[in-house]
Amino acid sequence: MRILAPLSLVLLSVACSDGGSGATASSTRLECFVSAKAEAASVPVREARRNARAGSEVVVRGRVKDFVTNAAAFVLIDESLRACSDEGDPMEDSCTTPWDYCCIPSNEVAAACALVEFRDEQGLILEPIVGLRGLDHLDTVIVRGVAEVDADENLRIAARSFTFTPNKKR
Amino acid sequence: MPRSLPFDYAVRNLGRRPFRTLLTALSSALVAALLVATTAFVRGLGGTFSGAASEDTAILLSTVAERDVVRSTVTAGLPELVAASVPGVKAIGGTPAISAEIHMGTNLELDDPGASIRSEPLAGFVRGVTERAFLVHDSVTLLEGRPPRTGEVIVGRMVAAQLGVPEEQLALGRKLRFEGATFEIVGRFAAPGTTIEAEIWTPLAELRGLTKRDDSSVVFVRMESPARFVELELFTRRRLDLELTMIPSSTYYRELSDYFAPIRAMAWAMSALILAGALFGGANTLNAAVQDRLRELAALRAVGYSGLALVRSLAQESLVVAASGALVGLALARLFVAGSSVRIAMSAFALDVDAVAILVGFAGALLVGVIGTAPAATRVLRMPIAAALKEP
Repeated sequence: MRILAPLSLVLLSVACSDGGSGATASSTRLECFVSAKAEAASVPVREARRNARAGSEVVVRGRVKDFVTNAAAFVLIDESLRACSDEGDPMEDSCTTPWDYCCIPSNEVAAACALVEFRDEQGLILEPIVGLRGLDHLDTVIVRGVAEVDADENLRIAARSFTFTPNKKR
Repeated sequence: MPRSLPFDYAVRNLGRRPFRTLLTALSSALVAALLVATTAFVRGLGGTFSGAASEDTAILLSTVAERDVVRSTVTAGLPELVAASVPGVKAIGGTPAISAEIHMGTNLELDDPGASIRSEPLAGFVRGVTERAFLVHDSVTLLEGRPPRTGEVIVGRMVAAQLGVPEEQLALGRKLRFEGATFEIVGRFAAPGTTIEAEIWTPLAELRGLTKRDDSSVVFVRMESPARFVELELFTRRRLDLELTMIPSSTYYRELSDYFAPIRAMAWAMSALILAGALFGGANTLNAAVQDRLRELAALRAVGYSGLALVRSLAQESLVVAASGALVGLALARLFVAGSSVRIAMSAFALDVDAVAILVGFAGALLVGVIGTAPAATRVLRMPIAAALKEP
């Protein structure tokens, strides 16, 4: 595994330092990750998967595919992939959920995804992030964080901050 | 205080038209038996899926399978990967409770003593397992025999019912054939109230070889507590390359159970229709009885019995008949429904006449008896005494 460590620990230690660190309220623990400042530049998920190196800081753009139940983490998918609810998709009504991307081969979907995790000093924050300021499936997210890449080239991002734009079709 | 008619007046009245009483009682018996059968069916169908669920067990299956365990394929090495990567997996006797399994429907041929292998294939459900399956499927108990080794199978106690063959054909030592190989039955297991009972279990490695596959269908993982499912879900999200999805077994089996909800609703609807038929029939019979005894009832009113006393007596008549019929119906249900089985797709479940089924059957028959009194009671209460006394 090429999972980095020292740099991400340093960066994690400063995550959320702009506001609310030390606050004990659960919502505040996640609120502090929401950035008011828009990122000047970002790369799509697929490009990040190709180029990100373990331990490097990345700014990645994508859409929220799935939330992890009872944990502050979600799967980010490349914007170039069309969700089943997107306009003009012939499979629009046949999927269980619009964000399951069931009309695209699963290996293609997997190759366009990255996991975003929100951690504090104790590790992954075990509370759901869905609904934070209205965050929901298929919202467009730009996340800044530290890349972690495993031997199978799965990309994980230890988030420091993020911004999001609600999905227009909501 | 208003006078009441004695209870034996109601009972003796039943003997005045014995044939009519008998038919009414039979109608109540059918209502009770039908309600017992419906309750047993609905509860059996619902319980057979929820019974297989375990609160602390989750299923890992492929994302493309859309929650169909038969269509799912996961890498063969997944159990070791999970054991090494996921904290919170329950260990039993030092062994992680992780079970890789192949689930498949196949054609079976049973051996027939005195003849060669039975020619007509039967559709059965086979599960390829390792010894770890017993760590995650708590409900499974070996009734006789031992776990299977290469060339062997163990069969659930509902398999005979599911295949529609006599139990003897699946006795220990008998042979069956599927996927081009012959297997000896070395064990028989129970898993009360679950679909597992209608399955045939055989070693996973051999089934992989026979079906020319190097993967598993699903992996069952038992966690230390349901709260640790998050670790398993995180694993599936971190290992996106494996294309896995995690679903708690309780959710999986609830969804399966929900799939059959329309069938359960249909069963209740049919019962309601028959119940309504019995209700109208009973009401008509009692109304006719009142018509026949109009002068007598009017005379009773004339000598001082209130309308309510007469209604109470009629209700007693109706309830005695309904209760007697219901008892017969319960006995019939016990005789013909209890222990029988229902085949559904490649599974089967047993009908259990339990306390709830008996209560529903008996209460339903009594309810029909009570409600069936209403038209006759209305008639008695509105009866003009003087006119009724002149009835022929």
